[in-house]
Amino acid sequence: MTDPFATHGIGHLSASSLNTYAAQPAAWAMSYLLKRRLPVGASAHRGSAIEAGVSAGLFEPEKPVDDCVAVALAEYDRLTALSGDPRREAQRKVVQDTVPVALAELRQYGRPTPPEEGQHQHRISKPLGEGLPDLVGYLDFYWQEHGLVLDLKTTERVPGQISSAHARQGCGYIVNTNNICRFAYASPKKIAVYQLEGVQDHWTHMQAIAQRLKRFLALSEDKQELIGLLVPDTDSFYWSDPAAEAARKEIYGM
Amino acid sequence: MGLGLSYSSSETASSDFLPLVSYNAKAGRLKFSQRVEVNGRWEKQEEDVSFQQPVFIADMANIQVGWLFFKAGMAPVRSLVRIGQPLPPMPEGDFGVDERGNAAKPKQGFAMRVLDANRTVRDFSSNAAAVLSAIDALHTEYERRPGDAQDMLPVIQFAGATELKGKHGSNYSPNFQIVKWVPRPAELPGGPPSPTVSQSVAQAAPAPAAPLPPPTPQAAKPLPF
Repeated sequence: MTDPFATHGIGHLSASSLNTYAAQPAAWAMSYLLKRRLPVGASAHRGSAIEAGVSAGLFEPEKPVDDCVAVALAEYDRLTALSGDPRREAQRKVVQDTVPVALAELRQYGRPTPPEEGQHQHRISKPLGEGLPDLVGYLDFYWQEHGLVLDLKTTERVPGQISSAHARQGCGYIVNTNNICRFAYASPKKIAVYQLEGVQDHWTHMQAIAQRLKRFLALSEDKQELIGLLVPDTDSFYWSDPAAEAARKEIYGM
Repeated sequence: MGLGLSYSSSETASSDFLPLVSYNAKAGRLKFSQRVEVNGRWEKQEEDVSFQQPVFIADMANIQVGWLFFKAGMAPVRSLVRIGQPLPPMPEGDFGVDERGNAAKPKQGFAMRVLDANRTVRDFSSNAAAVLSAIDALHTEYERRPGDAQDMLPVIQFAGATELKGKHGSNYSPNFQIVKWVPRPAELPGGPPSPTVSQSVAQAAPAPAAPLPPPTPQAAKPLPF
């Protein structure tokens, strides 16, 4: 039997892809099967912007915090220049307030290990198992001397624990290595840095999702037939952007 | 600044007189309009092209973003910069009231030049959220254009509209799609933009070892699968 992933032009998988399939298969099919990328809202751009500001502050430990905030705001303005998200201004304030909070904690870790020349992030690729594409991911920050991978999540309310979706993401970064992974959840008021535990269990779950995705794809070589098996949850945040909602109606008729 | 006064813009003055593409998000209609001379007077002539599903080449390399304000009877307010540049401050002034009685003010929007199938250069601008989302998605696709299309511009087709129900009634999101890539036509001068300065995270010096702070205790173990 032919490889269902190859049949549908899927050369590799990512934590984001597998988590989307687990949470909202209809959104996965639109993004990864039909290659119609879902537009992201201001919240996602907020995360990218804060990461840019924090990155500037970590790699340049002497850089004034205000300058790091300016880096973040410039990146946010660039990313949202065409955004129709009504929360754009509110999220800009979150960017402004979160960068100092994150830097106050994360500068204690020292300067991260820079990625290879010409790269912006450390790239990892892990075999998910026989008959499955590799899992590819990019590390936010890596400290070689600590064997530590850190993923920065921005939020308006810091959670009390790592979510299972984030745990699956993090396990891919460090499985079969002696590294550890932490998630930093930063808000405008506080930050919590949690360490990922139970890596092998989460990796097993990740592999199971990939296997089930493979079986789904094997049902048909016809993408539209696969689309016809799925029902979008119209309340899901995946469809919160107006353009994503419009694309969902176009593809699923609901 | 009072009603009826427009703000300076980074655009050339000639763009104020280009034929227009306009999209009415409340009605889901795309219109082409131009000023024509009728018996010695300039009049606006509009054509609803929604059902023709027109195509046009979009100069996405030079798309401008910033603040726009449109109101019947007033000159449009435009304060725009090329995408990638820091946004200008929002123009201040008395813009009257909106349809809900609140103080009106400019909204973030875009403007770009397009070349229609009759080889007429038009100005397409909007500050409607539904249009912005659609253009944002197109621009993302433009940024990810294939390697052999790096110096090309997208041909965009208007393929109808999709109704979106919100708290202030229905709006219609335009369904734009890129149908092919073409070399930049002579009617849309201005080569590719200068590369965007991206935030580099790479630094030459290795990090001095710092003691690793302890993690925050979690409330519970990660959620089960």
